[in-house]
Amino acid sequence: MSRSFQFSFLQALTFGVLLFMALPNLIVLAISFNREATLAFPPSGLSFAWYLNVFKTPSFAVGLQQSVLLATVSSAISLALGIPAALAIVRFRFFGRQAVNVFVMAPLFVPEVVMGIAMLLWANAVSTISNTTTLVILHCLIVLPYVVRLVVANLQGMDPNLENAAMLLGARPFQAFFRITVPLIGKGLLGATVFAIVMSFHNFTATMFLIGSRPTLPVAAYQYIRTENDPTVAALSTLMMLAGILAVYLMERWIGLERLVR
Amino acid sequence: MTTLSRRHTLKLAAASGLVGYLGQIGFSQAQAKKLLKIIAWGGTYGDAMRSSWLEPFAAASGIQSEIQLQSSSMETLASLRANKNRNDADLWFSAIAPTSLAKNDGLLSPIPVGQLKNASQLPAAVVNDTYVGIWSLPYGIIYNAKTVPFEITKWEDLTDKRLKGMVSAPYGANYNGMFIALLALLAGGDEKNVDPGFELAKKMKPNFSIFTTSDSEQIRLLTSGEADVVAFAPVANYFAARKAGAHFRFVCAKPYIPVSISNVAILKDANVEAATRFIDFAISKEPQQKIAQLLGCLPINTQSDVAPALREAVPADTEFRFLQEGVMAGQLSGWNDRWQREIQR
Amino acid sequence: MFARLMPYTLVAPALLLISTLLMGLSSVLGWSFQGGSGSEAASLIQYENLATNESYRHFFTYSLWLAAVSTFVALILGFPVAYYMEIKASPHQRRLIFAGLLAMFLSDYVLKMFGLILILGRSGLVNRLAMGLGLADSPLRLMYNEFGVLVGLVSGILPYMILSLNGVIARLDKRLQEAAALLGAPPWRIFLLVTLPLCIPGIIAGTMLSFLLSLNSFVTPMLLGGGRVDMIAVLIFDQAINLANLPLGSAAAGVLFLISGAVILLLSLLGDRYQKRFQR
Repeated sequence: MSRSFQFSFLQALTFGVLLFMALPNLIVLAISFNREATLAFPPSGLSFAWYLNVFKTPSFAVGLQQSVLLATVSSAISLALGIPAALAIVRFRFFGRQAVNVFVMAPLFVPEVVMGIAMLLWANAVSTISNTTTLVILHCLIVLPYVVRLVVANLQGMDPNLENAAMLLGARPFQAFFRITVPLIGKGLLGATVFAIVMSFHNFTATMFLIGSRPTLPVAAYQYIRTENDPTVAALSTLMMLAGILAVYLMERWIGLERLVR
Repeated sequence: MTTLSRRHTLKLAAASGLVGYLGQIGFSQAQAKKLLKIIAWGGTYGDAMRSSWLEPFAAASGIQSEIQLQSSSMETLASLRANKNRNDADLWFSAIAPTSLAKNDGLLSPIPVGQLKNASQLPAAVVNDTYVGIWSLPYGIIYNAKTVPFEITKWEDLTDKRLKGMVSAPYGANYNGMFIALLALLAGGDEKNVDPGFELAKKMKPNFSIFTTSDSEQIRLLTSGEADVVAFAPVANYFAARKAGAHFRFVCAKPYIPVSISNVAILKDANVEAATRFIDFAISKEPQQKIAQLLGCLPINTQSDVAPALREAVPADTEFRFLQEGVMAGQLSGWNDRWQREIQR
Repeated sequence: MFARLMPYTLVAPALLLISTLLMGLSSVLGWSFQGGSGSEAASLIQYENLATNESYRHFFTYSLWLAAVSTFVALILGFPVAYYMEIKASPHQRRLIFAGLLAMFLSDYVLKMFGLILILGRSGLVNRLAMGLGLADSPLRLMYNEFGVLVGLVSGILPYMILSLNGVIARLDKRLQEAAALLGAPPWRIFLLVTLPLCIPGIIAGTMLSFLLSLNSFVTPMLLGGGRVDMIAVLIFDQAINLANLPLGSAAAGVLFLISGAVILLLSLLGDRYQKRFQR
C-alpha cells in the first residue's frame, strides 16, 4: 500500500514538473488562435488571422530570412571545419592533440554575453567586415564545438579497419573517406547538421550584441513581445514549435535522441 | 551502424542547393529594389507613418521605403555607434538629444536644408542641417480610472500612498531624461541640477512597480492591466490605450506639462537625395495633418490643423514647458546610472 | 612528411576560426584596461569602479544569488523527473518523456519567456485561476519582480538539469540498491546513502551547466524583471550597447568570464575528488 502510494507520489511530482515545463508552450498555442487582439486567456474565439499576420509582419520576414541564412551558412561552415578536425582528433596521434581538442571546445567555456561583446569588439577592430559576416563567424563559433563532439562520437563508434581495408585495396585516402567513412557515419552527420542549425537558429544572447539593422527571428520576436500586445508572436511561436518537433523527429531518426545528450 | 544511401545523399545535396539558391534570390532582390530604409518606432507610430507618409510618398515619387523597428532612439544610437561603417539605413526618427550626440560622433549626413521646399512652413528652430522636426508631443500622466481610487490632476499626485505598486515609470534615462529633468524642475532644480528631482522621485519610489523603455511597452502595460498608472507618457499613448477601453484618462498634470519635439535625421552613407525628398514630403501640410490626426500629436507644420481629439485631451489653456534637451544630452548616462541605482532598485 | 603534416592541415581551419574568438577576448581585455576620458595608459580604474561602486557590485552578487537559488530549485524539481523516467517509467513512457524534454530543450528561449508572461501576468492564467477559485481578491504580482525572474530561470534550466541527471541515473547499478534492501535498509535510507551518492557526478554536471546558464541570463530579467531585477548580462549590455561605455562593459565581461571559469574549475575539482574517493 505505502509502496504504491510512493509510486504515485513520484508520478504526480514528475507530471507536475513536466506540466510546469510544457505550460508556457501550451498556453502560447491556445492564445495563437484568439479572435481578439489581446493576450487574454481563455481565448474568446477561434481565428487563424494571427498566423497570416506573422507573414505580413515585415520584421518577422526579415528575421526569418536572416536566421535561415545564418543557420544554413554557419552550420555548413562548421561542418566543413569540424569534420576534418574531428578526423584528426580521432584517427591521428600527433603532438598537441590534447591541446587541439581543448582549443576546439573552448567556445563552450566562454559565457555567451562575453562571446557577444568579444565578437563586437573584434568586428569593430576589423572595421570593414559586414554585420552579417560577423554574425556568421559568431554562430560558427557557437556551433563548432557541438559539431566536433558529435562527429568525434560517431567516428569513435566506427571501425577504422574499414578505411584501412579500402586503402589496402588501392583507394586513396580521400576516396576512402567519401566512399566508406561518410556513408557509415552519414546519419550522424545529418543529426549534427540538424543540431547545428537548431543551435544557431535559437541563439539570442550573444547575437543580440551584434544586431545591426537586420534582427534575427528570436531578436525580432523579443522586440515584438516588448512592444506589442497581440497574439502574432504566439502564432510565430507555434510555428517555431512545429519546426522544433520536426527537428526532434529528424534527430531521433538519424542519430537517436540519447546519443545527442550523452 | 546506420548507413546513408546514395539516394539520401543526393536528396540532401539537392535540398542544400535549393536553400542556397533561395537565399541568393532573396539577396539579389533586396539589392535590386534600392529601398529607402527608415529606422523608426513600431506600434501606432509605425502604422501611422506607413499610412500617412510611406505609402503616399511611394505613390507620389515611386520610391519604396520600409521601417526598421527601434525600441528606443537611445538604443539605436548605441547600435549606430557600435556598428560604425556598417549601417545600411537612410533615415532615423529620433529626438533632439540622440541626434545631437550622433552628430558629434559623425554618424549623420548633413541635411540639404535648401532643398526642402516646405521648410518655410515650419518654426525656424526645428529646421537645421542636423535634424528636421516632424511633430511635437505633449507629455502627461495616463491612468486607469477603474482601478485608481481618485482623480489624478497634478505631478505631485504620483507621491500619493494610494498608488502603491501601481505606477510604471521610465527605465533609466529613457525618454531622453525628460522625466528626470521635469521632476528636477518641479522640485526647484533645473536641467543642470537634478538632485531635487531625485529626492522627489524617492518619494514616488514605493509607487513605482515597473520600468519601461518604450511607448509601445507603456501601452501594452496599460491595456494588459499590468500597470494602472503610467507616470510619464506622450498623449499619443493615451489615444492608443483608449482604443482598448474608455476607462483610460490623460492628465495634463499641473503646474505644466513638458513638450518634446521628435525629429528625423539623415544617416551617414545614406541615399541623401531620396531621403531629402521623403523629409520634404513628410513635413508638407497634408501628410502632417494626417499623422497628427492618427497619433494625436501636434503637427510641426504651422499651416496644418490640430486634430479635435487632441484639443479635447490637451485643452488650449494648458501650460507647456520646453526642456533644454541640448543641455540634458551629455548628462544622460550619469542620470541613467543614478536612476537605476537610487530609484529602480 | 605529408602524413606527419596531415592532422595539422585537418585541424588548421577550425583553429583559425577559434582564433577570431581569442582575438575578440583579447580586445575585451584590452578595452577593460582603458582609463576612459581619452588617456592611453593602461589602468585598473574600471575594475576598481566595479569593485568599489555598490551599484555595480550589486549586479554581481545579486546574479550569483539568483543563479544559486534557481539551480537549487531546478535540482529539487528535476531529480524526481529524471529518477522517474529512468527507474520507474515503462520504456514507452520513457521515450515519450525524453522526446518531450528534447523538444523543450530545443524550443526557443525567448518564446518560452513569452509563454510565462501569459501565465504570470496580472490577467494571466495563474491569477485567473486564483481569483476564479476565490484564493485571491485582487491579482497577485507574480512577475516584474524577483519571483517572476526566478520562475523564468528555473523553467529555462530544467531541461538541462534533467538531461544531465538522467545520464547518471540510467547507469546506476541496481544491484547495490537491491543489496541494501536485502540487508533491511528502509527505502529512504537506500535513497540517501546509496542512490544519491551514486548520482553525484550527474548532480555536479547539471549544477554547473544550470548555474552558468542562469548567471548569463539576459532575456529573463529583461522580459520578466520589469527593470527591477539586476543581472550581469543586463549590466554588460547596458554599458556596452545602450550607454556606449565599452571599457566598463568589457571589464564587467572580464569579471563574468573569471567567475564562470572559477565555477567550472571548482565543480570539476569537486567531481574529480568525489570520484577518487569513491574508487577507493
